[in-house]
Amino acid sequence: MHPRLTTPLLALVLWLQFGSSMHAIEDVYLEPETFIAQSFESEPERKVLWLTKDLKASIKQVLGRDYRGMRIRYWQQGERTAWILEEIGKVKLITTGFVIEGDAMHSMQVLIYRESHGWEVRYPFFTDQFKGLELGEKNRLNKKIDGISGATLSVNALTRLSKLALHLHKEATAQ
Amino acid sequence: MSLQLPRKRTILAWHRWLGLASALFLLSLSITGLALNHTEFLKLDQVQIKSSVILDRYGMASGSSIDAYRIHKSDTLAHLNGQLFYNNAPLASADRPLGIIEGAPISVVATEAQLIYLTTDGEFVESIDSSQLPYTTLDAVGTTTDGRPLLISSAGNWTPDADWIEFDQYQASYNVAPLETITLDEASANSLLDAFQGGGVSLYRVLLDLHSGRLFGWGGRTLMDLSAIAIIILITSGIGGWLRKSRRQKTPQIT
Repeated sequence: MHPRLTTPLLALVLWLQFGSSMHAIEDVYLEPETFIAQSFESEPERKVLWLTKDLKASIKQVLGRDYRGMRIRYWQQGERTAWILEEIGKVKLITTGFVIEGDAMHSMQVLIYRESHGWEVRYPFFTDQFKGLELGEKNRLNKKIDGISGATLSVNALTRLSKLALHLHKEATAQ
Repeated sequence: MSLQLPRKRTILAWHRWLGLASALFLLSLSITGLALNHTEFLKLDQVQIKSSVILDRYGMASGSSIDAYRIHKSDTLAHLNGQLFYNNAPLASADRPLGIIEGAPISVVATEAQLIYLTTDGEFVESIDSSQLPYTTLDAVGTTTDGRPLLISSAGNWTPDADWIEFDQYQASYNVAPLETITLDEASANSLLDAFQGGGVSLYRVLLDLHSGRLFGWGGRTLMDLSAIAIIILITSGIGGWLRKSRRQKTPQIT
């Protein structure tokens, strides 16, 4: 084969080969145990919230789907609770940590991101919107969360999770 | 500057060897292409392939890759391709179990990196991983001398509280009994495979992937790419050779 053809052909084959094999990897932004340690001044109490039939029904209203499982772990110190929840963005789970105090969101952080797109949701310009968020009537948030172009599904997933965290906090602190 | 064209003999040699080298792949392309063109008539999408050789190519499991264990006296816990099943119903994504700790109201399936909690009816309660456990990798499951469950790891040995929320370090002696597997009967194994991956993979899918070379991963795909390039070169060199021959025949010979 003519040497002038060899290089572009080889480049084409390599591009066909490796261009399609790019895949998403798991990005750990903050280890869950570090998130818990950072969220409280001293060692919090580790608790579980058992999901009764009524609670599962209300979770379905908040989340828009059934929650699989019968109990959810959380950490509590006084009025403050922390939750590590997971929700699928497009095809993979996003692990997110929520700290709630007095029925309002204190902070939200994306801990592990596994999708190939939409990782911009980890940045403070997005997560800061969740500070002070409260769950009102008909499970509506008191503030509108601005989306990010190209990360709509991840934004929606995190908005759903924030509603769930606020709802679970209410249930847990009411017990 | 003029482009130096290869000599006729060189082109013919390339044409011959390229034709021979790509014959098998071109044959595969042609036969699979013909079959795919008549999918409905040949009912290719209705034929299910269950051969373990083919299923392996798709990362699907065959019956031999099922590990089954007895739980709650008469129920079955099975592990297949990164998934746990309780009486053939999907329970959770997990590695192969290292131990099963039966209790009430919670039983626990322990894997290397996870604890999966379930009720005595096999209902999923929750699953926790190393981020909420006192160790990274579990080595074995045992019992303390007073009969409490024990999680054994290189980071230490741990006993759970009654709700399996907190774990206390344990440093005294303990017993370890290996987890016994059971053999599933053929009907249960087939039912489990059906629940996990459906009826297998269709002949249409296999032929389509054979046609594109994807059945053999990146190597097969590259070979099919090279075969397609070979066709282009064969056509070009064939037409070039034919044109050269016909031009020579038209040119009157000087005697």
